Amino acid sequence: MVVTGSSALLSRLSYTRNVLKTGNKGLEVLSGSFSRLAVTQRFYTSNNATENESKPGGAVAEPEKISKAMKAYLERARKHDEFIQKETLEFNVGKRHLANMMGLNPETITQEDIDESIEYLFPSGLFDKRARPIMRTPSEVFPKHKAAEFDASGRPLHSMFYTTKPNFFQVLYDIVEATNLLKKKKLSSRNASMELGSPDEFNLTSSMWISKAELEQMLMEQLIDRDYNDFVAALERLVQYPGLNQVQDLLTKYSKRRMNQKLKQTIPPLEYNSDDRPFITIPNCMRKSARAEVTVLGKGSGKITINGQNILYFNDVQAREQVIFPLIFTGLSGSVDVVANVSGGGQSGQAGAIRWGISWALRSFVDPETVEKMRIAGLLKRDHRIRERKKPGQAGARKKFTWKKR
Amino acid sequence: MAFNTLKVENFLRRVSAASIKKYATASEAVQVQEEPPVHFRTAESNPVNHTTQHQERFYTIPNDVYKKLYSGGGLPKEFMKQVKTFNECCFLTRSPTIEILSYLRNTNYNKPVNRYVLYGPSGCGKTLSMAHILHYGLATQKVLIHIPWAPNWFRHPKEVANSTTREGYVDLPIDAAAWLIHFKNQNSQLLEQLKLTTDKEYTWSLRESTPRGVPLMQLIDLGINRVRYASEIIIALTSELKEASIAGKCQTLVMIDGYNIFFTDRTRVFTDAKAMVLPDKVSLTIAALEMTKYDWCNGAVVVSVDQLAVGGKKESDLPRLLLGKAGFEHLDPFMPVSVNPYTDSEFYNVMDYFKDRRWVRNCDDEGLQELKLLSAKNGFKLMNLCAAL
Amino acid sequence: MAALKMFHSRQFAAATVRSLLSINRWSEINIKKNDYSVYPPYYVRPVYKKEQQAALKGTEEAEHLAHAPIKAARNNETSSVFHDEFLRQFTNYIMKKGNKILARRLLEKSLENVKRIQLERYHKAEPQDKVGMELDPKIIMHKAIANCKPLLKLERIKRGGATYQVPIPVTDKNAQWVASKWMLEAARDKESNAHLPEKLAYELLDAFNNQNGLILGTCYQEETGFTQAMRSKSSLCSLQMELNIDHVNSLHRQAIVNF
Repeated sequence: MVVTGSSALLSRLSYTRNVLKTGNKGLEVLSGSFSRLAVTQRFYTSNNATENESKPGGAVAEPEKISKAMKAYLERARKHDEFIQKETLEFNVGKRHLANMMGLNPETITQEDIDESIEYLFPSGLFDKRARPIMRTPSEVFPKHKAAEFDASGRPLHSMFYTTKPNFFQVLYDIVEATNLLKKKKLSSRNASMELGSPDEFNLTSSMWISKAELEQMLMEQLIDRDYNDFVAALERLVQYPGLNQVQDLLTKYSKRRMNQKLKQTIPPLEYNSDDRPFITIPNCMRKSARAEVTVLGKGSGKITINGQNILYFNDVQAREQVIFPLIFTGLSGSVDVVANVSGGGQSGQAGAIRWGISWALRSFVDPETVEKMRIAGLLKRDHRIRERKKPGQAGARKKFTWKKR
Repeated sequence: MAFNTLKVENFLRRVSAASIKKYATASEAVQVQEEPPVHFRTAESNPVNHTTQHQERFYTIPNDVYKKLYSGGGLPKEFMKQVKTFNECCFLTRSPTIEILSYLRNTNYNKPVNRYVLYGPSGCGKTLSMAHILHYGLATQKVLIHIPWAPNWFRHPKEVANSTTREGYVDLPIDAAAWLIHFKNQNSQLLEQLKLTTDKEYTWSLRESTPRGVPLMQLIDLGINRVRYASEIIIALTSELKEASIAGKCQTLVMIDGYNIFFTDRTRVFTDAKAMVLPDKVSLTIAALEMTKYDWCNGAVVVSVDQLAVGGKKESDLPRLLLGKAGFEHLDPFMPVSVNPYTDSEFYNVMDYFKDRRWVRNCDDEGLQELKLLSAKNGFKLMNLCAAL
Repeated sequence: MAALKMFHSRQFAAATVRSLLSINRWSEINIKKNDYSVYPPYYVRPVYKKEQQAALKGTEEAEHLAHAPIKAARNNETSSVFHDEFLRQFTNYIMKKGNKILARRLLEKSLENVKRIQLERYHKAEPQDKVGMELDPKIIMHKAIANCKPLLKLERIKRGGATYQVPIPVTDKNAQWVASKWMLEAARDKESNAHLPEKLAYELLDAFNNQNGLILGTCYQEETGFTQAMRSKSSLCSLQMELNIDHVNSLHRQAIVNF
């Protein structure tokens, strides 16, 4: 807690200094690298004002004239600090108690130990994990607040203070500045030569923009959906231009890497039964209200057994097609056997459950490339769609009663 | 010899689908009749000679035989459609048929008749096996007592009338007359050759009767013209044929498809009082059950039991369950013959035949494998799957 | 992504298509009204056919898919060699009250009837006539629908308080839908006692041979001067046969100028 506080303080100071001293050098800074961005996380701190005051030769050198707003802010900040200090103390004491209770060393107890102990001591069946009991450092639990956005005399520090979302608009400005920069370069390079882009360009396909929630957290400002759409639109416009590596810092800041979906999976190894046949059993294959248990055996001949019958268990051709879909897709239809037990639901649901079970099991029988192909074919995703409930006051899930005036 | 044909067969199977197609079109131009050069056909169209050598191949039924035997029923409706579309009637020679044919060839006909029961999942070819055996019966000059689909009598009776001669029994006059026409179609030539006559005098009503020594054809014609007596005439006819067989004047082949309907506990035959009539109170049943007893010789009985005959799903397609206790004891001892889905090579031959008839085109190995899985090698399902291709 | 490179290359087309499909970029929250999908908006539709996947190999789209979570394939989608996208669509056109089993049976029965009719003709035909005869019901169906596709449709346009019906060109997808609808309407015509499969089979074959009632009387909205003119030229589709698209477009422009 203390450490984060001080680092925030430092960054806050550096920010103040920049604004105060560099004056109108904004353009110069922007046209350079984008590492210095005006958005920094700043929290409540009562030291701000005093630091400002004590700074010799600063623009705000009149300690006597503290505005009312600053006073009120300082009061709020002091109270918050005290509160956090108290909570931290309590947390530390509580941690020691907990360690003693659980027979752990109070000096070396970690957050993981705490989580484990809490789960043990207060077992909770609540579905949402965020609703379960926790014990964390107060800095994580209590919301953070912005530091003062005005100086001791009450003058706003940021030129866009009165937009109420200065950080957000600063971000938009930065993006637009960057766009203009690239645009200018593109135009000039078109005049000069057609040399475009560079091989180490920013990779768009493997990244995605940060979410609204993440952006809000980063900026410590509440955004509405339209704001976020503006933000995305601005970035989209930026990435239309060549030479993205020049604005790499900005892009990396507002995007996150998308993981290659291929690397996410862990595929279980094959098991062997008493006949030395490889097999995989997939319990709990679900689709709609159908539940199935599917076993795929290697060294087979394409025999499909569903509830003790052959594939004609399904009257519907479409259901049968679904069952064999993963088999023909992987080309293993002649070399594996399938045994499925299925209950609940109708033909289509049961077939879907078995299809998923077979696909899931076949991952262990095929090479990783085929697994990726199966994923792209939509075989490895559980189909979570279910019947939508009927709503009161209307005829069906969506359908409304015929409207009559009277 | 057998080895040689096997080799030829293997060679033909190995040639690619494309060349088969070429072959097929080439052979069509000269109307395949004599020795077709394709592995899925056999030129042997006389079922008397059918042995394991002809197994898994198609043989063509001559057109006159087709009209004579099956115009009154005996082939599934869908199959008749295929015959019309394909411009020919072909049966696949399959192992249950070969098995029964070999039994029929090697039976000692002086001993009481053997009963053969065909069973198996629906759509696998019980009725077509029966049709094949029927052709054998015709070829070996047997009198054919063929009930194409017995459940029709009890599930869709055309007309129901109380029996005049038997107390508490019910006649199905129109169905009975229709069957007599079917019988006449199949056997008229043979009966004229055999010159069978009635053994007893029959009285149908106060005014009408049939004296002793009248040709059986006359009896049949009477039944067709006087629909009221048709049921009784069938009973008389069957007993006459039975006596004639025992006397060695003729050989009789009894074939009943959907035999288990005679032992069902639910029919759609209703009396005037809307009371359901069970099969044992229908006069036609008497004839059918009489013919499937083993108290006669010089004949054979082939029946099939089918889940579809009794409607609804039964847990099993085995004879014991479908016939019930009474039916099982009536037939006991009998020889069960199971009719299974196609084997792999049968499946490929059928598909090659479809390709030959242009019923499917451009079906590569992948497509074949798919059809094999989707149909589970069930003939009926396969036909339906190929219908839209 | 270089902008100029994009504009001057094939990538441009791909990018435009993607922007049309609104999957152009990856944003986690893409707020759409009335979107009840269980999938988050960044899930993409699967590519369930093997040949389609092979065609995508090496393209930008493939890389995109590699990083994207994929929706589950629907239960009427399969990589089967017999699967046909248009037939799948047409099944849904036939379907009433969600009874897809019946709809599919009707469609397959129709195709079967088409094939039977053609096969019987084939077996009766002289050897030299057999060569060019089309026996594949799926190809017949595709061609029949293609023959029925309209080029123009009438759109109501309001000018100076009066509504005019102006013929405008239709997109291919719209034309496919309209053609399918006409085909089904013709097949469902109540005057005949025949069932849908038989009626549809005949309609398909007629359309395939370009002698359909549909083709020879296509005007499905109120009469205007323009449509009357077209009718005097016998029909929309004969128009399609007589003129190429440039002519139609110029006609269209003229029509708009007249209004």
